[in-house]
Amino acid sequence: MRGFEPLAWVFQAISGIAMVFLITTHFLLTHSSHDLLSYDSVLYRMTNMEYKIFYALLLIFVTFHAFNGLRAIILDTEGGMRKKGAVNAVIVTAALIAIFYGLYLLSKF
Amino acid sequence: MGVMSWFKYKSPFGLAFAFQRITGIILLFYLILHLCYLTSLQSRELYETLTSITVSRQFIIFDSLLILCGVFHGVNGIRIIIHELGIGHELRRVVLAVSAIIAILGWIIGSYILLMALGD
Repeated sequence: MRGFEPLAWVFQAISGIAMVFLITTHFLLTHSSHDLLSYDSVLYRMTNMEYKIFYALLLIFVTFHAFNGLRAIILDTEGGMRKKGAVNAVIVTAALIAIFYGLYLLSKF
Repeated sequence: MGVMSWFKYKSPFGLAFAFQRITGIILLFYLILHLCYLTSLQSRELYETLTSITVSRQFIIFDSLLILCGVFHGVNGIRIIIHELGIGHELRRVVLAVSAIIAILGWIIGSYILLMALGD
């Protein structure tokens, strides 16, 4: 695990920078007009392969970044550090469930 | 180290550290909410019921605060990366001030876009 934490930090930084662009794009795609959030507009995007790839990337980056951040916060507590293995296992499991559930939902369109 | 210890440093940098964590946790909940939105797309009725509540003038204050959380977290995160890479350490105060200005501008622009879209 010695080399894991620096690597986790590097991926946290890379995913953070990627998300600035991905989330700004997502915000403009969905919130620059009221019609863009209509069911038909959302369905159109969800059935379009380019959008699907974009949202799959967004899902993976955001989920990794969010759960890795939560892991860092929990490991910064005394209780969290004492049970580091368990914290890592629970967080990784929750993140994988979120990613696979999101990808499953995307694949249904 | 408990949650209250996030606020033990009263400097602007200490507050930025605390707010980075608080906004991160808020945004994690929003990610989970987004998965609920994606799930609701299985039914037009469910999706339209959900958006009729959340995409409304009454809800815009929450959306605006969420934009503030997102923009602050993003801009402050980039500030942290810059300093962690050893860049501009001697200009820490200036970089923090510029980050705050960018975050406020991003918040205003984002909220304006949301407000204009509601008027469509």
